[in-house]
Amino acid sequence: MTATEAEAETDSAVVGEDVYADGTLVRDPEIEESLSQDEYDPKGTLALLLVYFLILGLMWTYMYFVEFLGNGPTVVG
Amino acid sequence: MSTPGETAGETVESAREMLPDNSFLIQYPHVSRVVRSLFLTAFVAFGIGAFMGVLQALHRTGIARIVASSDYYTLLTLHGVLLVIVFTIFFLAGVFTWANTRSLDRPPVSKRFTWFWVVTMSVGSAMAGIAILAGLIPSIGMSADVLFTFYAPLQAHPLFYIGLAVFIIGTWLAGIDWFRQYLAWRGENTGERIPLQSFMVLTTMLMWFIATMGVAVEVVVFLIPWSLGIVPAPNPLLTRTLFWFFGHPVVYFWLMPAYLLWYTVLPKIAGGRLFSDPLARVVFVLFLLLSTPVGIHHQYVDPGIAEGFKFIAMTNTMFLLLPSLLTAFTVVASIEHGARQRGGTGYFGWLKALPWRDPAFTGMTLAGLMFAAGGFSGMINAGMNINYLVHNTIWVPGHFHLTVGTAVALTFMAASYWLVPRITGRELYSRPIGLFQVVLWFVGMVFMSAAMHRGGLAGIPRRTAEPQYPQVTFETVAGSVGSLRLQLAFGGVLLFVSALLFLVNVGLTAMNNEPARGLDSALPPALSGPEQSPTVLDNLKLWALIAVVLVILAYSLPLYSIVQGAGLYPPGQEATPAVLAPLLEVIA
Amino acid sequence: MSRLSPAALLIVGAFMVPLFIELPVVLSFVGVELSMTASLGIGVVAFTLVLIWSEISEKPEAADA
Repeated sequence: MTATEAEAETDSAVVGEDVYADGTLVRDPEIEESLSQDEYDPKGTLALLLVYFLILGLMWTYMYFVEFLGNGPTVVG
Repeated sequence: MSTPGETAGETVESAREMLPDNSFLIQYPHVSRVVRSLFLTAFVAFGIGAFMGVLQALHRTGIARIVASSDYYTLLTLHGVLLVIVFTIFFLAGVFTWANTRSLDRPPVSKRFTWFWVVTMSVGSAMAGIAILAGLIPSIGMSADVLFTFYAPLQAHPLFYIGLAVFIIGTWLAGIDWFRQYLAWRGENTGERIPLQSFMVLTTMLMWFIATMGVAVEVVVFLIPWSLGIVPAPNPLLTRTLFWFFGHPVVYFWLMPAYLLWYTVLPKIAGGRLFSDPLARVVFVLFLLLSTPVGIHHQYVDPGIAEGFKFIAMTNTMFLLLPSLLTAFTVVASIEHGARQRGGTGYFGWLKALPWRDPAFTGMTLAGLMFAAGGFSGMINAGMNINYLVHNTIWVPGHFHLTVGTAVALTFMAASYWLVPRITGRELYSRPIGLFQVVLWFVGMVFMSAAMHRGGLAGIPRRTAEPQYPQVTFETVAGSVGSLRLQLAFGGVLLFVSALLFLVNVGLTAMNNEPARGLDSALPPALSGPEQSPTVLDNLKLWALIAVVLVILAYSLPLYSIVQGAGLYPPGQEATPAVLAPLLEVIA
Repeated sequence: MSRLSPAALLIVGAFMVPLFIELPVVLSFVGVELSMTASLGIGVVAFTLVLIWSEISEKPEAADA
């Protein structure tokens, strides 16, 4: 494992390479660095969800054209 | 596939010895066998159902009419029932058996009982399937061309309804089996939190027990006696309402196993950890509470149900967006965690650090992306006013091919690439073919579903063998109706090719003598674990009770007014088509 | 060395499909008529450009996405 990880506690030396830095269970050996809850800020998720909401908002705007301008009167009831 | 040890011989035995001791197959060989047999049934149904799908896509667009248009409903019923009842539910039964066993770390209590429900479900599906298939051969005098929405006045042969009832009983027994497994675990682990996957299985099954009450009453009290000629035709509105009592929550019965895979397996494949275990529990509790009291939103144009009841159903439906949006956040955040652990950076740059080469990851992610689009068209369906615009048009099949047809089905296919090696001990035959297959499904569905949505806005009806009328011109927003038809058929063909590739890849995996690799790592724990949530989340009795109360609130008055209005058996109802006269003559 | 692996090209191509299928609809709202064939044709050209960008790269160390 990397040097940065080795200095954070002695986990990897004692319990094995498959343990997270916070001492919980297993991880895949391919993972380069481990991120704990405090270190992780899901800003990419925020960015993606904002894009999604933007698309939703635009599509709702189009709904106005589709429902009210694109068709004749709708029979209700 | 179900009994590999006997056929494949010594190579497999030696291959199995190479699997790590903590792999699922070595720990639970019997449970693995159960899951294999459930998956086999699911995949056979998937193959037949997909074939019916491509036949319809070519038929209704007028490109190739291989069967007579009068048989279109037989194909459509097979397509619907085999894909959304047999494929989805057998697959999810396999996933739940695996997940419950894995997370509780113990096998089901009784092997005999487990096989009993597997056989019950299989016999029920076979009965229903035979009744539908018989419709293609007129000389048998049996048919069940009643579509997946099997309410009156369309009538099927009794074998179809009895098969459905047997199948539903099989799923109940399966649920009881998983609860017994949990109670045995609870006996040895007092005071501990329910492991997450097991929690998801149990809440889903509680939802299913409540939801299937409606269809059980519909089938056992009304449809079976009616098809046998014992009682007159039931009130169609009543059977419709009882069907949709079950017909909406069943979509969450398909979806929640996909959520289970997104919450627990996908973060691991992405190289990360679930962002929040408590949030996952809240989502499943919300589905338990809100899945059932919404069914009337399928009946917005039904006369005989007051607008007020429809409005309540719409409100409940909009609340259902909440757990799905929570899921969007939690699952994406969990994937992003994986990307950042793999060295991803930036607001969007982390997307490049994801394991796109892995068909299981790419398939589930594309499925989630399609679900986001399906969520939008679902909001349109759920709005009472906008619903009138698209009701009974091909927009609606366009919507649910994004949700059950992609969010669920593509997740199941992608998960198979991950799960099948774990229950067979055999290495996936081809990852590149798998990747191509899941991407092809996505592309095919984009073509087909976009054409369906747009055709629906132009007013093209659903469930129609020949939606071409000389006196009517459909007006599209962009492009011609002809190009929409081509687009729909092209997408359908791509989807069928993708389905074939999937089946071939999984079939060759089941015969692959190379031992599976990389099975030894357990699922990583959540970043925010269950200890950070209130224990009341695990109080299943409380949530089940509230769910029942909500169902009573939403349904008692509408059902009462339907029965008061036209009665249980209103006079003048005719069965369509009248299939029983020849049969009764034979019996007499 | 190509910039994108075959798998990455597949994913990029897949994400382009919905864009070019919806393009004529979006354009129709602003009054621009574009046929589906033309839109898909533009999509094929765009993908070819991505392919060329991916395959013709000056720096040998450019890695897969």
